[in-house]
Amino acid sequence: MSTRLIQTGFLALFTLVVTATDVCAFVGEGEVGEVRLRVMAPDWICSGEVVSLLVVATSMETAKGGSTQVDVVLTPPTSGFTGEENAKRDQSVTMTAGRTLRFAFTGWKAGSEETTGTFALRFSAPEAGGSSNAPFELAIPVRVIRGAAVPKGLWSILVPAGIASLAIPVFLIFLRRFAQRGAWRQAVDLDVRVAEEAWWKSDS
Amino acid sequence: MEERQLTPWSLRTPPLGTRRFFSLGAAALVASFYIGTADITIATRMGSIFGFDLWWTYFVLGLAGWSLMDMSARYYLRFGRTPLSLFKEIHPAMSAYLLVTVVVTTVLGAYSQWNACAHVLGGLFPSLPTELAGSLACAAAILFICWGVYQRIEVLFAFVLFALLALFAFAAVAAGAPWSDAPAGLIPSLPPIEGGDEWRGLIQSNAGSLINAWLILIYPYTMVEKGWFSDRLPEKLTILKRARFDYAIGIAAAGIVALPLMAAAAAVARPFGIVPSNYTEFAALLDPVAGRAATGFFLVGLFLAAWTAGVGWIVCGSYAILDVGNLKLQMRSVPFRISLIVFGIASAAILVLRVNPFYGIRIFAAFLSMVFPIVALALVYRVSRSDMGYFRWWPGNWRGLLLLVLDLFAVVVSLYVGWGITLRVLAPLLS
Repeated sequence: MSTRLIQTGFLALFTLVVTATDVCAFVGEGEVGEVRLRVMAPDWICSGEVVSLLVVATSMETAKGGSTQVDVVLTPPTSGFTGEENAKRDQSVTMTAGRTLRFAFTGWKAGSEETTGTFALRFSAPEAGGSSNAPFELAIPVRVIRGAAVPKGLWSILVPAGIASLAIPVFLIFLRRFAQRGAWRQAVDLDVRVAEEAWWKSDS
Repeated sequence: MEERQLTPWSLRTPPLGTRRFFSLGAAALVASFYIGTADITIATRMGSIFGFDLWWTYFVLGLAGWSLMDMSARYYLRFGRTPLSLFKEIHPAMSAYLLVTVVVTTVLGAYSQWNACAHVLGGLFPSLPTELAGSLACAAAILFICWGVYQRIEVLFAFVLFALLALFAFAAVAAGAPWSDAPAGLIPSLPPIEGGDEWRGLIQSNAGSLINAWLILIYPYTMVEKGWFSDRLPEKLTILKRARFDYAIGIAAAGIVALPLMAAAAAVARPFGIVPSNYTEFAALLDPVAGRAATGFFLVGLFLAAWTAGVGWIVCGSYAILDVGNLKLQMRSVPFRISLIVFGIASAAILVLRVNPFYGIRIFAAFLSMVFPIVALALVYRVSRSDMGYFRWWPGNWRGLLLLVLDLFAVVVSLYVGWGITLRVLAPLLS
């Protein structure tokens, strides 16, 4: 029977992996001059949470010259996101041929507690080392869903604990129905049904 | 000779034979409590802020958890009584305290796991609302327990434990984790000052996750369910030896699983100053360095860890409730199943609050660490009494002395981490 169970477990895992091809992350790519940019961001987030964007910049092996400077800008929509203390709008990286750099935009908070909907963050790289290539622009749609109904801090444990404590009267009724009177304060000896295959008996 | 007349801890127990060694114990079940979303969240956060610097906390706090679990096993083998009897013996107020603690923490603990399951499912299937996804995970858990029997749960959990290790290790290897830094993390030390005060909260949460409030009492329930008991002292000692090995494996598994998680976070988040605030974000961070497969593996591993921990919470909560009422501790009984359903409904109801699981679980684990000092004090008070017979404290030989030191260490750690750190955190608010 246990073999069947493991088989079922494998089947469930396999189904999950096969059906879930997308992990709900936004991935966009583009080129600026001889630098390839790959941007990754979650494509949904609860309101009130902070979103982080990861950028992978790769300078092509064939890139000419010593180094290339890439300026990138993140423009969040004015209504959907607010910047925290560490939030950056623009960054500049210097690339040499064949090199890969990763950097991040962090600290952009999704909406207020009530704001929901889809908001597009705009990622752009105007130019690279004076290249005449068209600037790279990318719209990153982030779906903001309803977030926590309680503020962070003490309330985020007190409110759930308050709701959880509502189960106490239910269990008191349960004990009244199934247990003997006063059992909750009486320690009793167990009548343990010793296992048929008592492995500890053989060489003790 | 009578148990009471023998010098405590003087008998040598035979080594565990192959058959005993491989007889499936509750190690995987114990591990399932320790490797839940709390372990994953804390390890990920530790890795993204401090790298491997706080890895040692898993083993120091785990040792305290081991000792507390051992106290409950010793009490069970000495008297043939359940863990809650220990509290009932001390004072009825302790029994009431345990009832409230068991109900509240089981509901919150299970809810935290369904919440994490919901976020994983939401990451994989975006149109699925959190409440529905979490409730489905909860319903599947109840159906599984009602359909299965005890042995099947252990087999499944053993399978999941190996799957988890493989999934997280794969994700970390693919991310090119800085493995060479890991051994230094085993030396107890505090992280550099630039890490701020965050380490205190993380240690406290880790203690809540590893010492786990009243969940340290669960091992004897697994022994009752499997009929591991004897009236003969040598046989009791053999059972205790096997049990000790079992919960050592279960607790150590938490530290072992934490390693690849810390490693992955140290590789993909720490260099960029990103502290992941949800699971899908962390999974997405794995993508550029480890490939999309690693992201999927991480999320599936997270789902398994959360779901099995959710099963663990409601199973143990139901055992404890049955124990409060001196009811037969049996998974197949009607009261057990009713209790499961009540825990399931209550825990799923909290999903509507939509507290970020990454944040919520840390707060909950810190909350747990405030609960367990009472449990630790009660345990140490009970096992220190002379009626423990052969299992009593005895500094006259090295085994007895070691046990005494470990018991005291466990209670000191519980008090320091549970209340000491809490007071330090609250002091600015109170002044």
